Amino acid sequence: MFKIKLLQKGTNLSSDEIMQRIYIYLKEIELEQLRERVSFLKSDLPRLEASYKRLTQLIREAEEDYEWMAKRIVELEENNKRLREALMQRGKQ
Amino acid sequence: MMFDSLLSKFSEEQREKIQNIATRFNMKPSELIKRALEKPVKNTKEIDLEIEKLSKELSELTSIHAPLSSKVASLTFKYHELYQVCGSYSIAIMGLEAENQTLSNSLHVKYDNTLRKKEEELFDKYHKQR
Repeated sequence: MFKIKLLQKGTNLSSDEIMQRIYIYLKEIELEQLRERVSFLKSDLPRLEASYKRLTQLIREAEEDYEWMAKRIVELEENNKRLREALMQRGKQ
Repeated sequence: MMFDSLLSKFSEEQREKIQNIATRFNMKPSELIKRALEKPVKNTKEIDLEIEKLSKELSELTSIHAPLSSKVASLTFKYHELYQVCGSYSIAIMGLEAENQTLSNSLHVKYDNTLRKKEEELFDKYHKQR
């Protein structure tokens, strides 16, 4: 019923007027899409900023751990080498 | 029937335009016309102004969001890589500590375990947490 009323309304309009209404409808769609995009970006920015801060902190910690472990591996390798040599010396004796 | 009479109003060019727009929005031409007609008529200048304002805002937001998003992606990748390396290093340390303990025991020298707790914490950090 509603559709028929609309079409009746449409038959009272000229084709240019209907085309104009279609173009307005398209502009409204464009406007709605813009609103959605802007709203998404606004709401997503705090999440991204928090991720950026968290990742920067995690990387800083991981880099410190990496450096500490790299040094520790060298220390342990050297220590084990000394112990192995001592053990071999003891075996010879 | 009524829609056919409505369509007959349009020129060939207009019908083609309607068809193209309807296809773009995955609609039938009748649906497009119905939707366009059921919307209350608005001032196009107001819509244009709002579109202009929002486009500007979108451009400004995108100029902040896009590089930040890219930075976060690159940091995520960097952290993942670092996490893998730290995981491998912590395993290597556990192996070297075990060897150190065995050798110390064989030599009857005191096994130095002062850093063991930190090493185990790091092992847990890069294997249990994610």
